[in-house]
Amino acid sequence: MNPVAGGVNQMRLANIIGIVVLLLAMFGIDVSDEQRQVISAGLGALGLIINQVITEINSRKGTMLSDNQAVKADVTTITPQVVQVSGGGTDAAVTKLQGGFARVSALWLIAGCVFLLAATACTFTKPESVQDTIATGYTLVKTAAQLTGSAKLNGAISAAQRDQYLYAIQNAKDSLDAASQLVPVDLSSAEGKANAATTILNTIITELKKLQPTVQGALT
Amino acid sequence: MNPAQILQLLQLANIALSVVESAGVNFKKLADLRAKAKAEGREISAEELQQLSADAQSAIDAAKGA
Repeated sequence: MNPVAGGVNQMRLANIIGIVVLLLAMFGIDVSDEQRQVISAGLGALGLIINQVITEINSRKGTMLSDNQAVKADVTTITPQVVQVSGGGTDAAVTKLQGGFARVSALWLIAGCVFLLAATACTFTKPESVQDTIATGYTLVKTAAQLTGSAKLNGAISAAQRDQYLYAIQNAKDSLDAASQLVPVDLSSAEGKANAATTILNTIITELKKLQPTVQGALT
Repeated sequence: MNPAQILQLLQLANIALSVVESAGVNFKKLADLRAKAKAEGREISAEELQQLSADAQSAIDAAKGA
């Protein structure tokens, strides 16, 4: 599969899943346990998909990232001076613009992932649903890692592909770790729900503040 | 079908079996965890989530050495 075309298709799938979840939230549909499990599994898979897309965007730039912070580190290492040395005149401007688009795309995907996790916590007001979502995500991550190891042992994928998949899986796992920090202690009371909402909003604001200078830097 | 294609088919079948086996075991554990929490009248605890996180990390680390 063409990695770029694959990324586009995965993004479409991610959008469809996200829209379904948001619609459920908007109309307050009371889903059954079975339906909730399916949605939970979908959300877990969504984390994997989004991270895979981020990986593909960065691989198109010829950059293999090693951890979550690498995206930010990568942005700081590509400076206008570097672009000016490698290109000249119009070429440099085009290179810079393309680099800027790639960086902004990756950053907004990360921001979208954070927002989606927060929206998920808000969508499922029943406490067990939040924990279930995260627990299902961890189970999917474990299964995906085992599958990747098996595929490498069977020679179906190369060592480089294994590393790329594990990078995406590790990011998904890290996202789940971050989401598990949002699990409120008590959602049974109005006060507990208000505290949870405050925590989630503060997390979103903090993440957006972190992204703001980097996005501005990419655009200028 | 040439030998290379047969080998590839066997590899795919092997992987499919691994997926079914791994996913089956993993999701059985998850279902057991849910059932246990429900029977005790509580939600999945933070400690249980941490254990799931540790299990997932172990699987990732194991795959790195594959």
